[in-house]
Amino acid sequence: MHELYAHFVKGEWPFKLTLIAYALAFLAYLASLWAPRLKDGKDRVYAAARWLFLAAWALNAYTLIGRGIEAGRPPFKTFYESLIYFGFIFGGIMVAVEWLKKVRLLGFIATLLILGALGYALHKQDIEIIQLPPALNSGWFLPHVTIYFCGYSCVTVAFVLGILAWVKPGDRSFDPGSFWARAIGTSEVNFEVLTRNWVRVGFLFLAAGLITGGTWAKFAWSDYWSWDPKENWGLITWLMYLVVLHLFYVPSIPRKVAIRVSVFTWGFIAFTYFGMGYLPTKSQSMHIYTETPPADQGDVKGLNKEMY
Amino acid sequence: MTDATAPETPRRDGLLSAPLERNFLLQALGLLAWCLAWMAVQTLLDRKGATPQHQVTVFMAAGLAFLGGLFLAARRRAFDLFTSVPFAISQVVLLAMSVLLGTLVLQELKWSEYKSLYGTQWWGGLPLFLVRHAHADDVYHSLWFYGLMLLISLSTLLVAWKRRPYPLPRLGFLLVHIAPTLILAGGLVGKYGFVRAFNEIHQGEPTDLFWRVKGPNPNDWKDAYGLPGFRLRLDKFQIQTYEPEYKLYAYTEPDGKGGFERNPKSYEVKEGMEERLPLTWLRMKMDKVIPDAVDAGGFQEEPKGDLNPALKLQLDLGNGQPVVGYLLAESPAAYRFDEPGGRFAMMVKERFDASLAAQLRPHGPSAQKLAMTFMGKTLEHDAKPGTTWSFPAFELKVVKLHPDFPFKQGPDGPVVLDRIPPQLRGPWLEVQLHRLSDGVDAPLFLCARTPAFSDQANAPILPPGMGMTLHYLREGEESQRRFLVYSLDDTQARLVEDGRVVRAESWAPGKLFTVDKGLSVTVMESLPHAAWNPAFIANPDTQSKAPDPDHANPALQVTVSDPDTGKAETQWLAAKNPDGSAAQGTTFFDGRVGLSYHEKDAEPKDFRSVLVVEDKEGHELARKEVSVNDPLIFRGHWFYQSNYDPKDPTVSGIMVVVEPGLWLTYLGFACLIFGALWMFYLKPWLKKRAEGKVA
Repeated sequence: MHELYAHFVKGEWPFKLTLIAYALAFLAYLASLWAPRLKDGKDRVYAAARWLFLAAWALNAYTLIGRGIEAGRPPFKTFYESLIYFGFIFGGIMVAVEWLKKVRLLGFIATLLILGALGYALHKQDIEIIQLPPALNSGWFLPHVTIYFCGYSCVTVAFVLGILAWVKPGDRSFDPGSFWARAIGTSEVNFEVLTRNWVRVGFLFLAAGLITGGTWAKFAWSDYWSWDPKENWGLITWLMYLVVLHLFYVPSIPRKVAIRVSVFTWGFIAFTYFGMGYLPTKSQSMHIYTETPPADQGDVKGLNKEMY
Repeated sequence: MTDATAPETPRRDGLLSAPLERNFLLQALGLLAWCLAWMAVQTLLDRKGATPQHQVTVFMAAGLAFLGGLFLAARRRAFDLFTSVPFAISQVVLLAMSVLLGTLVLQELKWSEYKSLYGTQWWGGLPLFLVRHAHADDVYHSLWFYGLMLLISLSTLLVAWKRRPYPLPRLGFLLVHIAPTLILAGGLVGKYGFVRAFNEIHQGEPTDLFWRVKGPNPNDWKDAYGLPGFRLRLDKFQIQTYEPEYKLYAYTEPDGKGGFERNPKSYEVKEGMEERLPLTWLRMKMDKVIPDAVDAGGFQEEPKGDLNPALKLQLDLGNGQPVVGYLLAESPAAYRFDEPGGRFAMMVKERFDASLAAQLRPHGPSAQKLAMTFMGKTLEHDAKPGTTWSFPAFELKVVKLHPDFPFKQGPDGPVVLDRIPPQLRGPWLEVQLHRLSDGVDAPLFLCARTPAFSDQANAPILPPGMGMTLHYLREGEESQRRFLVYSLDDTQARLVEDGRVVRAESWAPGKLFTVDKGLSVTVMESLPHAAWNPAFIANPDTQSKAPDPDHANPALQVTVSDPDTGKAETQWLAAKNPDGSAAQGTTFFDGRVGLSYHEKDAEPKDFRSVLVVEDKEGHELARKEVSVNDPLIFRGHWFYQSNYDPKDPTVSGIMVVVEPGLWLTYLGFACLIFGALWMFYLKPWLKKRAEGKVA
């Protein structure tokens, strides 16, 4: 806890404000799931939650853009920056869904997930802005990473919907006054179909991410595919979502199996993003994010080892 | 809510009773058997010494023959199996797991490396077994992995055939199902005729020869690739760097072991800036910033400091300009000073004994070596006359060691040694280069004292396009014959000549020792606990010029104060050590806070080479400035910026890649994306539109 506090104290203010705003939005969404409507029929807690979510996302955008301007490059070179970028892309998609469809349950889950990502970013905070090495200094950097993060975000939405489809399978008709109708903003829903639709979008983005990455790699490293561990995990996640899409078409396989496999497949995405550092083959990868040196190598310019 | 993909009446199958096209267990067993068969084939081919290209040829022929036979024998069942969705799922899952395997087992190591890596682990038996028997050391180029991809290709093509005809709305389905075959076909074509080769190109020296590098040793550089009908010239090479940026790093969380946290707070350096240090109540103020500073400080006696004996000496050369400096008895870098005229050297040592005296005489080197550098790699070998080394394009032989300037005849007649500049005197090494291409022998002379001279003289003789240099190295040599040695334990100053003490006098502060006429040394101060007391001033050499960020040494004076007690500590922090390396940090308030001032880590921004493609007569065919992400593409040849020689800015490492099947792969990529978009989004729209028209 002290470590987290120390990280927070040393953090940049725009990032800290973003984190606080998402935390407030999360609490407001949590309250809005149960808070009663006022006598005038207005749901002020939910309205506050939506505005807070929008404000948090705007702060997230400000942090990101400010960082990009200060660094003079796309702001996702390091793990810390990439997590802020994930918050921006995923948050952007969810803010749009929330404002268009009024699904407070998704707003609640989205703010929770972004809080998790940004909390991890707090832990992975950079000491300072790092410049780009020549290989990343490319016009492909921005589209490749953006497409991938759109893909990650879409399959994360599919993951959340998949869990809901697991709990509430098939065509559902909720009592308009019930918790569920209130939480999802409608009384008629089929989470399974929604899951499949978001998997489709995510699958397309993941495919486009693989292809833009391959094209960039052909120009930078001379191979469109070099069996790098991160590339391989990109391929594994894509293949697993290909399996999910096919599962929806097999008559002999119940739909719930497809849903459960889609939920588990999100674990592959999470590992591709967070787990590369744990792979035995990580030393053979050129894709690992730049991070603050781990504790056992904690020697910043000799101060630790050579301190008199 | 309706769903277009809602299943028809679901059929539940038993684990073993279900037909093969719907039975995941049987499919998995069949796929496993298919992989095992290819493992066996590859082991057999490896034993026969088949090259990877031959293995692929055998694989394609045998694989297609087997599958063809299968379809002839059981056409209906095979077709049902290969076009079933469950079989597609089985194949894709197994393919994904195979890709995963290659990310768990380290790829392309030697067996001995695998043994040392996994041999000591309790679970190590499994990866060793997989490496030995399942080719897990190179999963992605193994025949069983190719076998899986062949099946996927065949399945998708048959599915595309089965689902014909293809009216417009269903075009997407066709595209996504032919895409895998196009991508894999591109890779297969690439197996034949793929080239990746390297060369280090010298500015203005066109070359058409590249090497398929096999290993780190220059002896492995064989298998040349010649550019077909054209050659490559380097006009200019340039390294772009980021502007150096110096920052102050504050460490405020001591870890109790003499170190600090791994994530210090970093600050822009600005004179007058004051801030509270994170997680403390201490305040830090940047008192003074000097963009390019020199340390005009000196050693001071610190009675409470560590023992660090030093003498402050004044050297009088008889020219009215005495030199004052410090010699430290325990510092290997600062216990000796050679008089600029080369007449003697002075030393400060803790004690003087016979073994030290014996070393203080001129003696030859303990080792003599020939250093051969080519293509960025250096090999060092003992320079014994008669030794020969063979390389793919030439041989090198050590002919003779010359004690002094080796040429007897100059352009103006016989050489008189006294007229030769001192930097060309001293030992030389004679080497003979035998070029295998034309059988010509050429002598090369290497000067030990001034290698740059012989580099220039030998450059026209050495093979072009390899960045080759030869140097004659002599280690552990002593040329000085007279030493003045101050010993601390007995306070004696001894003059040693050719290893013998010729005079000894006691020394004390203020006492002068005459070495020779007009040449004397005076002890000014003895400092048993010498501690450096820095005092930075603006560099007088650069004060009036624009700052040169690459060579400047910024210094910063910082005060850390405690508002509770009113105590304050002020220290200087220089960004660099005298040798140019990054300076260490320093602590305040008994180690409660650490501050470090140094240049931010920076990588080069870019490497750029202006490359020109020309024909054999030297006519320019193409020109481009290539950089790391921007290769030159000419007649199917992609030329990449690959590496550079930090010592030679006129050399650029270039890689050439020829990949014949690339267009097929990209066609496959395009089919995949457009097909999926069509299937998911355009098809429903087209259908809706058609229904609207009908209505």
